[in-house]
Amino acid sequence: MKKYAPIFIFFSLLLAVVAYISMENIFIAIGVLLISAIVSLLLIIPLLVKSSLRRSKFAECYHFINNFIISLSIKKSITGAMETTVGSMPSEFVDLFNSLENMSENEKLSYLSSYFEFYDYQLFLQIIFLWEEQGGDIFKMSKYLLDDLRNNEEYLTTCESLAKRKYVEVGVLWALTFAIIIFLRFSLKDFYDRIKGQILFLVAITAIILFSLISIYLLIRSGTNYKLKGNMSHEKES
Amino acid sequence: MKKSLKERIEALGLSYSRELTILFAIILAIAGIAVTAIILLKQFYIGIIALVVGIIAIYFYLSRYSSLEAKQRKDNVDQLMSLLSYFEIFISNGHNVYNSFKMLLPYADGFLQEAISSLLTQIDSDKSVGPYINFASKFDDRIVESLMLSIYQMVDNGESEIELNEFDILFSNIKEKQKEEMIDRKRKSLDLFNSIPLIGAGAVTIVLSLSIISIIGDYINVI
Repeated sequence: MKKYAPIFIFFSLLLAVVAYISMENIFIAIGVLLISAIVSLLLIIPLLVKSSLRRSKFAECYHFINNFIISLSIKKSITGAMETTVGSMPSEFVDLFNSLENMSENEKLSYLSSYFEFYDYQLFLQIIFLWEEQGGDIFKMSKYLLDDLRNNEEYLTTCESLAKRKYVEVGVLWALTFAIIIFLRFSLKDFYDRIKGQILFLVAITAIILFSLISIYLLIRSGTNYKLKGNMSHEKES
Repeated sequence: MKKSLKERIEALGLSYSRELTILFAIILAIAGIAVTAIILLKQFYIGIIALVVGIIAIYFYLSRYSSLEAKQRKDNVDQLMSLLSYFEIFISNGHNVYNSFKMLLPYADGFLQEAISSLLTQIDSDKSVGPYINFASKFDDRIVESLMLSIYQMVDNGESEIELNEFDILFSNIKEKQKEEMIDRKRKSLDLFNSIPLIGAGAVTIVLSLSIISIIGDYINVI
């Protein structure tokens, strides 16, 4: 939230400034500021926070499973693999893991399925428990799971970069659109003095500014809505 | 067999009565505007324009079911591909085809859960390729058909490692294509947003033109 709030406060102020410069009406400018702040706070920022949390959780899950399997193939014990893997995880995860002191290793792994809410993690658990029961080559047993995780990771990274590029493109196009209004405002001053009081002009420019806000919200919604295979809640949504 | 509109709407998970209510509300609104314009306001052309716009709106409202159906079909295939990745994991860990499908049930929901349950029931009574073909026919996709045939061959040839490898080669290629297709779909859906600021710029131009025309109109009136 803290990461996105300054960006969207600045964005709301920018829209209000555009509204004021183009219409010279302080009430409309304040209205635009309030509406854009509310849309940012209630719709856009929660969307970005949720998406970024889901993304970082998946990256953590990918990192955990990968490291665990590599460590298990070297150390041949779940305890050893766990120690090595937890050491390479972020502090939030380590804190959670340290609070599970009283649990056995298998219970800890099972408990983590509530932290990593992905089907891939449940499949990982099945493979680990099967390995514990029957033994075998853990790399061979988890080959398809690791392939699947890598595929997901590649898909997410590509979608993320596509979305970021599109945010910039659309942002620049809207900035150019508003630049036309502001440019005409200063270059055709007499003309502007005549039309700035017209209801049609005020309503239309306000509508265009609000339309830009809605389009940015829809763009962010589309950019953050990727099929994260294995994430239970998300898969049901899509 | 061609489905009725009611069956199509319900198959999409929508409420038939709600859809009909919305449709009647649109028709009533259009009729109201047209009648008001033609009879009360004596504006014949506005009434006709309202009717034409209304008919176009109704056409788009009703034709959206086809695109929703196409989207649902794509989603079902995407979901099946995810599940077949898990299927591959189960098979490679020594489970047989029947058990692997059974183990997919907790990961599937809605349409796919029903389809897999039905496949398992059919396999219980029919050991031929029939249940696999029936399952594939629900997806209306040739890729699913080849995958199911490959799975059947696995069963028919004793679920050997060679068969698993053949399935893996086929499935890896399909998965790669599916990933590219999903990325492509994402790119296309994002590209649609490029036109929105252009519409905004167009709207600005129209507003300014209308304002100029109204100022010219004022001048003419003064003269």
